Amino acid sequence: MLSDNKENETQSIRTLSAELSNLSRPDGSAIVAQGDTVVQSAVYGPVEVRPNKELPDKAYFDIVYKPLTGLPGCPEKLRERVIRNTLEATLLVNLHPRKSINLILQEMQNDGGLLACCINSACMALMDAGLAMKCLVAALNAVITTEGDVLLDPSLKQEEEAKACFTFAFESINHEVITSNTQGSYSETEFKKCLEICRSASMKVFDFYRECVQRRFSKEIDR
Amino acid sequence: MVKEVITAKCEQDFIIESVKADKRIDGRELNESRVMHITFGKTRGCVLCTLGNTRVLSQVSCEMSMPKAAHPTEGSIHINVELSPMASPVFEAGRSSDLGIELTRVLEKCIRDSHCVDLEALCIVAGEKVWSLRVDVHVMNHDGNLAECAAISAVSSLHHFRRPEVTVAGADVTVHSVEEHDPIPLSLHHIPVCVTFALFNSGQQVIADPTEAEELASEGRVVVGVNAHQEICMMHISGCTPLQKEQVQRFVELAVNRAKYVTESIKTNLQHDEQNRSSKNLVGFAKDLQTDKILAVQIRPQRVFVPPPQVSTEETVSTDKEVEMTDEISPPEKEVKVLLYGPKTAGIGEGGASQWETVDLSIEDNITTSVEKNIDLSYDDESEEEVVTLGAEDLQIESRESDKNDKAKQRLSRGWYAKDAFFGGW
Repeated sequence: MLSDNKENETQSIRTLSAELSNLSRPDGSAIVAQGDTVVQSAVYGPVEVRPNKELPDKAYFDIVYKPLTGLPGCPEKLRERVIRNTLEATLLVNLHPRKSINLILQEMQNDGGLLACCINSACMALMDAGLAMKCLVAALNAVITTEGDVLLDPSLKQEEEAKACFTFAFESINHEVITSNTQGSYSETEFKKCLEICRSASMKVFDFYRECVQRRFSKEIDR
Repeated sequence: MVKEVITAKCEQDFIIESVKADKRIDGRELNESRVMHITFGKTRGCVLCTLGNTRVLSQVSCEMSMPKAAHPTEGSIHINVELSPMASPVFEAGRSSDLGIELTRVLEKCIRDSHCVDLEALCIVAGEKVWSLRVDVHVMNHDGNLAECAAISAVSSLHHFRRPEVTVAGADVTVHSVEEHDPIPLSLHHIPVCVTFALFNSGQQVIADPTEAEELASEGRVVVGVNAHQEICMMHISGCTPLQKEQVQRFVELAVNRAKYVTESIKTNLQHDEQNRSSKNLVGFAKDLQTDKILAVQIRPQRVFVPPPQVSTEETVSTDKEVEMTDEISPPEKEVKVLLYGPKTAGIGEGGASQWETVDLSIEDNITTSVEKNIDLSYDDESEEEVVTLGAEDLQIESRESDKNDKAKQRLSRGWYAKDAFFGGW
């Protein structure tokens, strides 16, 4: 599925598929698959807040990330943190003071780019819940291989073999970076190259969001 | 957090009245179950089971561990039920509720205590190394009958799971990777299935596979664990309705019928998945999403144009910006007056908008004057030490440098203010 073009003229992202509102209980939910990485997310909100989490000027944004096996540990907490920071920047939390917005993410399959898939899935669930946001977020994943080539949206195997791994989140207005999460060592040139590739790929993800929402409301639109 | 799900009295009454008239709110027969789907993940031992709107994901994993002293030749199986806050606003992450404990116990009785997994087959070296299995059951959407859905999900995932091959040579134990040796399925004796009934009308009427609203309106629930061989593995009664012997027998009969259907269904689904895997077809939730869901959207692999590297130009741009930034800053006003309002109180200029930034950069020109003033002003203060550090060499040296060096200018200005804004009398 991935083009490993030596000239690095074009790269490709894996098949994206998603379904909105696939769970009956939450206010908004989305299951997103990027290649074989699948993440289910659900949003409840704005709902009643636990008294010790209450904020007088804005809604408390709570994120729970559930790994597929075992109990959540340090890496899971870190991932929660990154997702929370990314999305809280876009959510208009000030609209709901003394409330709570709960986002729950469930890993279902991991085949590389899990963090990016989590952010995309979470963004779609928030969108589905109808919560006011400043902009949408699209996250992309890229790696630098040991040969020094840039590889967009790698599989888990490619990710593990890579020299450095990047996850960028972009906002939908000016396509500026909101989050940059990196692992491994890399040069400044490599970083910028990955950033630009991910930025241009983010357009595809935003197009995909639009299509998803259209399909979600296709029945209503036809009527 | 929401404390509990509250249903309206009229809604509960409506459900009860409907059941009395042999009807159900979703149009099912009294002993009719909802549609069941079993889908398998890409990794082994990952199963998603949906029963109507109820949705449970389970994943089996294994690791090597020491056996218990009492059973040196037996592996172990641990069932962990997660009532994810995703499933219902009532559930809290990381905290086991009464329902969670009840559900865990039901599953343990049904799967572990019914000895459906051959634990002796999990032994590697007696008394030293055994496989311990872990079944993570994630409830993803709660719409009643969690026990049945979770049990189907957990049992299917145990059937779907493959553990790595191990060879034992003397004291050496080698675990082979998936590439080296095909992993081996667990040895399972039977497929226990939980079936839930909700009791109405003092146990006179019973409905199969209740939804959450029906569960809340019911007087009690009976969960029967049976297998297709008509063996009862587990029975769990909650609520406060006393039951007659004949009623219990009837539940078991109904449950056995259901178990036969579910067992067949699990087997066909497993076979189907095996076929797909052996013929290298796509498997997993992503494939399911792409092919089986009407409301799902997919886009094929997208080519992305890679922008030409702009590293060099970008750098120039960024430096340009810096230059602009410094250029943009308005030239410092020359007539900044420092006014002494009283002891330990001074002001710069005569009110108006904050002039801090302007003053910040005006130091270069005003340095000598301000330092002089400084000393004058703080003369009557007792904090002479600070005045000395402030006024003297540092500033003058830096001021000489700052004529040409922008960075030095910034450092100077910051130092000057941070040390003692308003001449140490702050």
